[in-house]
Amino acid sequence: MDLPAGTYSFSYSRDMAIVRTRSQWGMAILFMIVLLSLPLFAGSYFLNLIIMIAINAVAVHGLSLLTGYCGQISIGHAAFVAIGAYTSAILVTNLGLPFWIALPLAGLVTGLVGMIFGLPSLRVKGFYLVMATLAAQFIVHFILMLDPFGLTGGTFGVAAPAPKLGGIVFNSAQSFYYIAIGACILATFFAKNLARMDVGRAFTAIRDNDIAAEVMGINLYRNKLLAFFLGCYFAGIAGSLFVHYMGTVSPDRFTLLQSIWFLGMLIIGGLGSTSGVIFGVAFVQLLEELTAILSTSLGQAFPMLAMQAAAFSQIIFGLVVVLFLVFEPRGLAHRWQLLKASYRLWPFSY
Amino acid sequence: MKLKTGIRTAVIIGIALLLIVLPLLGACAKEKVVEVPVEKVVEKEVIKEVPVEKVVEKEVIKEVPAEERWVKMLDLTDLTGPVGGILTPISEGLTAYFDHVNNKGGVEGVKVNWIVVDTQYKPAVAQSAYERMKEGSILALTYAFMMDWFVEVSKRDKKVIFSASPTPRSFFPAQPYIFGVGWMPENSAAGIKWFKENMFKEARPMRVAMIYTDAPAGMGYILGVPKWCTEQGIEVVKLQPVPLGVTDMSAELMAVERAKPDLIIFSMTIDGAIIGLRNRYDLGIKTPAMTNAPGDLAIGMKSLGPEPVEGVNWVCFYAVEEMGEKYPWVKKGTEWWYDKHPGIKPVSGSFYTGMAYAMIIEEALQRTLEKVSYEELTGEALKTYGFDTFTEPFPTEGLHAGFDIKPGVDHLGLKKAIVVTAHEGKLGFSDYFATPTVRPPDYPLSLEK
Repeated sequence: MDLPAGTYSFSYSRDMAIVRTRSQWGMAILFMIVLLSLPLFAGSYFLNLIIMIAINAVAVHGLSLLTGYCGQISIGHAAFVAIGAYTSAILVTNLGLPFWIALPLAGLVTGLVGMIFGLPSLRVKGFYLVMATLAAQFIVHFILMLDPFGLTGGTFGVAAPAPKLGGIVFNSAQSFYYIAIGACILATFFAKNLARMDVGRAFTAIRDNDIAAEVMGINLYRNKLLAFFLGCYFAGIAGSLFVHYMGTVSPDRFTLLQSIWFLGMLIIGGLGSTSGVIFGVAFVQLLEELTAILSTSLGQAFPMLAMQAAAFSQIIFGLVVVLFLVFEPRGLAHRWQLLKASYRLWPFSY
Repeated sequence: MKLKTGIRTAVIIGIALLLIVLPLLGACAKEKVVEVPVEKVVEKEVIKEVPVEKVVEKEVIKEVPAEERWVKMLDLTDLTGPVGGILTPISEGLTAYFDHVNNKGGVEGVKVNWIVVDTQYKPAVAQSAYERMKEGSILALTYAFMMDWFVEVSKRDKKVIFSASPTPRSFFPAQPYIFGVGWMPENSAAGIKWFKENMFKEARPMRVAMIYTDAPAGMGYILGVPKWCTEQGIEVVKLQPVPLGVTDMSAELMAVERAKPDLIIFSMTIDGAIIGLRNRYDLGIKTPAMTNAPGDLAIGMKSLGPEPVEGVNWVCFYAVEEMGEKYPWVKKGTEWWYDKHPGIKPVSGSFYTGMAYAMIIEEALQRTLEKVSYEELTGEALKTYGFDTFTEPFPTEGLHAGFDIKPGVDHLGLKKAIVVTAHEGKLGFSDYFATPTVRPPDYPLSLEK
């Protein structure tokens, strides 16, 4: 199913390789060249769109590990992204640390905070865990608004400078694109491999049946907390990228709705799939963009209905998502697999 | 089938090199900005003195037929999302006014293509919409909390950003391409000052309590006001936050009342203030109250009836329907509103704000087109010959309080306000009066980008 007819793997390492055939290598290289040379000919609008997809993909990779693989439902993921964003902004502006150090530290701090909120997962699961992570969403939001230590800027949030490397300032879409894409590629690479390692298999076992997993010798305590740490680490990295790209951040940017949409992206892409994350994020972001374009176009075509067009486009957005889930409940990753299989068997498909 | 190890290594090294080299190339590469040659924006008198070849070059610019003279402007606004209720009428006011301008033949024959984009209270959507639609536009009006981003982008693209965002960062200090109304706390201070001068009769220092929504819509209107009060000898006895979306604030009001204030300021949108005023009435609190943020006391009165709002003051910066008899443009705006929304009363005050913004933009465009031709009309020209020439608060025919568009001193902000008072089911109003200067408290105003 995964490989064209007549293609065999003769060793375990070959069988486990992500890129296995000459044509796959060719396409991968071509894709990388196109991806890396894109800023040389694409406009800032297009690059901006890709940057936002890349940043959100990093965050959703984290949620994929936590929820998609380990089955620990989190509805507070936006709050964890916020922690990463604020940590990075504060480290850079208040302590004067360079972005390149603040970035992993933001992930680390978020991971540790995530572990704290992951503690209830040792006792509760399912909807009860949803409530626990929902609490995380509100607690984090409240602390950011309250600004008890004079660090978060309260309602107005904080500003963060663009990353620098030597004399180069990454303050344009053209330059920041490489940071975002680099981070997204690394996150995808790590997420994919983590899911295939013993850790990922333990996560999957816990997701499918935690009692059976424990009987098999999997340490639930350790692995659930590890899932929270890893999931939130990715969220922290995404937050750091977001704040240094946007230049400013406020609590309003990390609402419960955003958390729900992170879950939505994961479900649309396909739970428990690395490529599904990319598909899901791209789908939602592009749909959001298309509805914004639709709203503007309708407003221009029918000026009297410009304001109603905005509401109408939101309805379209919701409708597309609902219809998509009805007709492809297993997500875009599954549709992609079907497409590949059909292509490989063509013209002898049955 | 298996790729040779040497080739694979070479490929990996190649990709790694690309990863290193291309970011540096990208970072060094400047974005293509459509820059207008200097000679296109210099004044016409200067052009007479330039060498012949430059004049020839100028003549090459193809004149656009009169019927095709449109100028593109963007309205990046949140029609949907938590502030859609306030911002939608502003966009409606802007659109109605530019329809009027276009119907009378445009500004110097140039019609305004006012494009409204719903940014959904999401910075990424606003950012993306701007990048998608900026080509050919000369101005973008925005409310989003992403002004730090626009500060840099407006310089890069040389486009005017007309901001109605209450965040102070972009206005302290004033930025070269950012214009508009941005600093709202002066409005609140004006209300306190008005109350002290007109209503407060005691010999002791006045005591003020502020109950505010812990969100930009409430917090943004009182930032720096407590400090200003202290400087004025006014005692701030209570600062009481309430969460956004609160449904009852009785407990908070009782805490405020215990501090024995002479005036309670409700710093929140009108839906929040209505809840607060209802709770105040139910609790029997007689302390005078004042609201300060966007909304409309007439809506409050319609919702609650006359008794709960009796004596309540509303310090605001735009017109109310009742001012139509004094100001013809307010009357005209009221007619436009009812044409568009038959049966929906009263007029949303934000509608007048939108009209006022459009009036200012029209004036800037008029001033620019007196200096440059349509073909030379750019964001840079609009800034230089339009907005930069506003040295005084621009009068908006009573639609909106005057505000400094380009102060040249240190910040943008409202310069006038009015106080509307509910009495026996009717609204009375003061005339526009000058606001005091309020500066933000210790705040991360600007950071090295």
